[in-house]
Amino acid sequence: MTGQAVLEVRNLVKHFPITGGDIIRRRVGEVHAVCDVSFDLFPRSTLGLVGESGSGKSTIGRCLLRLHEPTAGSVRFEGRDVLAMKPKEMRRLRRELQIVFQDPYASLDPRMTVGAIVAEPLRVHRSGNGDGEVNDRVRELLRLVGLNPEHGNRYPHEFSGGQRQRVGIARALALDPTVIVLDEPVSALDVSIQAGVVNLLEELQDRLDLAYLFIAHDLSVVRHISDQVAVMYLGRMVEIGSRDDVFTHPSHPYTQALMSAVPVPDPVRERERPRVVLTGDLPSPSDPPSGCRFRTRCPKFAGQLSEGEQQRCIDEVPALVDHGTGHPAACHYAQALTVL
Amino acid sequence: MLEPRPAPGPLPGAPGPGVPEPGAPDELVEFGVEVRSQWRLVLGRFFRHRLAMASLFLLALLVVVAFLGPHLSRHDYTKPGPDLSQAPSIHHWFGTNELGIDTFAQVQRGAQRSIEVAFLVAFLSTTFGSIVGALAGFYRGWIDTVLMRLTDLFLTIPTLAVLLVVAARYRGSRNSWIPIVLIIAGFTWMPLARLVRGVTLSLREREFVEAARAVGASNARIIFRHILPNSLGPIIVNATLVVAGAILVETALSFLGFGIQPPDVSLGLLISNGVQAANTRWWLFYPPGFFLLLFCLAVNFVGDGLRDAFDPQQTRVRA
Amino acid sequence: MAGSVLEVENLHVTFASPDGPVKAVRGLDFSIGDGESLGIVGESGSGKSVSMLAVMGLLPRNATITGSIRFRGQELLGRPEAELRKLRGGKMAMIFQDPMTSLNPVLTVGFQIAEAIEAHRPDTDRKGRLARAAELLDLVGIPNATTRVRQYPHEFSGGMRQRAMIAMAIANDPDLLVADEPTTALDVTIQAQIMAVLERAQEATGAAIVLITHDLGVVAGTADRVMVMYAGRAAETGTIYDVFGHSRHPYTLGLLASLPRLDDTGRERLVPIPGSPPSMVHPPPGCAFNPRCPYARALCKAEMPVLRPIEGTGQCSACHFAEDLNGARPT
Repeated sequence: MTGQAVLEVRNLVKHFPITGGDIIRRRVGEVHAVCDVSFDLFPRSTLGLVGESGSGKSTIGRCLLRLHEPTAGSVRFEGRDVLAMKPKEMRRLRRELQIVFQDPYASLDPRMTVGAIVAEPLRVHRSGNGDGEVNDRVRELLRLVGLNPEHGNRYPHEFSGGQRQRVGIARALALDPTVIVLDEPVSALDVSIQAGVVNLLEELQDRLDLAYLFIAHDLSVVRHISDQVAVMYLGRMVEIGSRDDVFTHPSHPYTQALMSAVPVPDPVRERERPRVVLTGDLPSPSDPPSGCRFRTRCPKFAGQLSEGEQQRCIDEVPALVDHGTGHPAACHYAQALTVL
Repeated sequence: MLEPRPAPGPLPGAPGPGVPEPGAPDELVEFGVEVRSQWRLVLGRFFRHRLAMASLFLLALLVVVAFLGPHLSRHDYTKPGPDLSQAPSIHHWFGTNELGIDTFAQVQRGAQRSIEVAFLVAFLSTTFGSIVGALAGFYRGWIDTVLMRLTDLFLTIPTLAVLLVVAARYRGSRNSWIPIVLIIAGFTWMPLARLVRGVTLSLREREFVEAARAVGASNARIIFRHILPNSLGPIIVNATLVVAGAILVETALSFLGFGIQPPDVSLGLLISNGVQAANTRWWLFYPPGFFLLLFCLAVNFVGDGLRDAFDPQQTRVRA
Repeated sequence: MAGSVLEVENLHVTFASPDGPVKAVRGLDFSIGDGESLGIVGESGSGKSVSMLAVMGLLPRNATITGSIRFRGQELLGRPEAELRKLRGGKMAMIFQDPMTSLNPVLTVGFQIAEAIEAHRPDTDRKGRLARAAELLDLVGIPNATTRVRQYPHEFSGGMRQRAMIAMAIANDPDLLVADEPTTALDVTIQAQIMAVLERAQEATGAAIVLITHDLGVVAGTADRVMVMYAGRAAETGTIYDVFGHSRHPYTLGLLASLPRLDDTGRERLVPIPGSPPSMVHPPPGCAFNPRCPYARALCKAEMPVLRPIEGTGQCSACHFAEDLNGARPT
């Protein structure tokens, strides 16, 4: 990837307080949702952010837009410090940095017409002179995402899930953004509809020069759409690299297990694949394991390391650097493995 | 070739047929989609609720009679007449009182005043309660604490006692009904504030509110354009119930002599005047009482119907 | 048919709704043999869950069910509820999608499993039932089963709750195990574990499994046979290798072409199926898939195709032109 990154995230941290107490609510603990995450997003490219529940991927997306306020770290958009921005500046930034949500049923206000929903960003930012221009832009946007512009005066419940998601995308495009955070945009859709929306996203990226942060748990979709991929586990980034690198030579045991677990719709391959199976359950994010957070479930830790090596995993947080496998992986004993 | 086939509105829980996805072949059939706003669906369900519809008609009838009163009967509710304490007859449909004043005219005027008070109270208390609840639920933190403790304070104060004390101040004044309205409204907003706060707390976590924030909408816009419109269901239902409650409170006050003052008239005052004559001159007591009863019943059934219409029981089908 | 656990013939399920009758299942035929593993695949609106809920007798009262459902030769439709209850949880068991809500939060997990045992074997004593519950938890891979038996559902993670559900389902040695989207609500690494548990459960009981899912990958890994459903009818049935390798129905072909695959190296365009799943109040006439089918002809709108065996293969397909397809990929 050449050129300047449009979005630079460094050492991002987000902790959620757990409150308790009766009359006065006190902080009794913290959920470590995101810990020390750094990455770059380049223009006209897609960074796929993968992870399971509790990985913190959705939280990262929201932190970038300051829908959650990060606890620490820095986010720079085209060189400008996002976290230090005052409300007025932030409002202007929202024209360039937008988000599409997962649930097409919950992310649209059921009491507003679809046209009004798409027009809202324009009205909030008083973009366009008068109703005529706004309406024209709304029609243009609806057409852009493949919907009939005549249907702008209908309500969300009259549309299917896939169509609603297109409305959400139209809304995100209204102000001509540079970067769009896509939080699980196709997970809630029927399988046969997902492909249409994925194609639309790719088309729009080419046409409008967009950069995507594509947050998902579905590795198959991520492989299809991303240029770069980053893998998250329990708040930490465990592997990052170009898509082909990560998918053909996964180096972190979690990435290997994750790819191993994703089923492929091909009975012959599916039954012959090598499997890396994880044991146990996700640790609590309010009390993550010391050192490497993955060690409690890591098949390498359990089966291949000596005691001395295991001690290193318990004591030392592994750094996200290239251990000789071609791209950074946060494992002291990273080794590329072909899992597919 | 292929003609569009009309389909009824979409099913709950099932994706509706609508616009063909892009890139589709031209022979793709377009299913017609009926424009059905949420309000239409709600109204549809309400119209199907027979008791609520009947009560709505009754309510409309009562209101019309009360407000068109002077045009219906020939008598003035203040003018004494020659026929004293007459039983109901063709000239005086509800008879007359000891001063010869036509009872029907009095009941109409009383009903009109009582209904005015009730609706105004409902409007004021609903507006105030909704705003308090929405602010508390949206901002949380110390705003929530302060507003909710204020609400608790008002809830624990014995309403009737305070009402009596305050009402006593305005006793004998001409436009006694205005302070009465304000006082009653001042003590009926609390349950709605609690309710709206609860609804707001859940709505603010919904993704469409997050989406509005992501677009840069101000807090005021989010509260008034997104949260309150989506809370209208419980608010409207509650408002109808406040109407019934308010009219009863006003009746109680007037009955005790602290509410509407003569020469103005209200149902409570009429009942109060007529209670001693209940056995001998029944026409002074039962008509106003009966009107009150019908009104409250009708309002309550309409409220029930509205509640069902906004929140119907549906057996969802998973396929 | 000897050795068949379940036979479903011409099943129709219709729901009353304010918009008109919803025809969720419109003529379904299939059967499952002893110890077999059948995957039922479809999207929302296909009728896959509704058909199995009808088999278990778990549909609400506004459902009209016609046809024939035979469990080991005995007709289930029209049976009184008391008799169905004897079968449910005993010889026929079901596992649902959401492990968070399927367990009662105020009762211990052991108690709930023991309850399932008691319902079908009232002669056992309490101690014996709890011991058996612990055994079952162990079988499904929950560590420290004897301690876990006395814990409450909120102390279990999502994956463990699903294991507990499976334990409850196999408690009485069922002949038929129905799993309705058992892993959809779970993370993919947990999904892999649960599918392994299901396999182990099948081995332990010798039961036939019906796996309902929308995930073609999950089905590819575990099922012997698969039935693809669309709009309340079966589109295609056959062995897993046949249906995936040589599909005989345009819908199956369309699904397979539209899926991004984990082992896809190229950046080929996905081929979506145009349109969206149809309304079940007014399904399209003839073949329900015809509005979205790239091969549709006049016959497809005129006549509803019947599920019929395709000569030379072990597959059945409900497409007028199934013979011409032979695993072609739509352009």
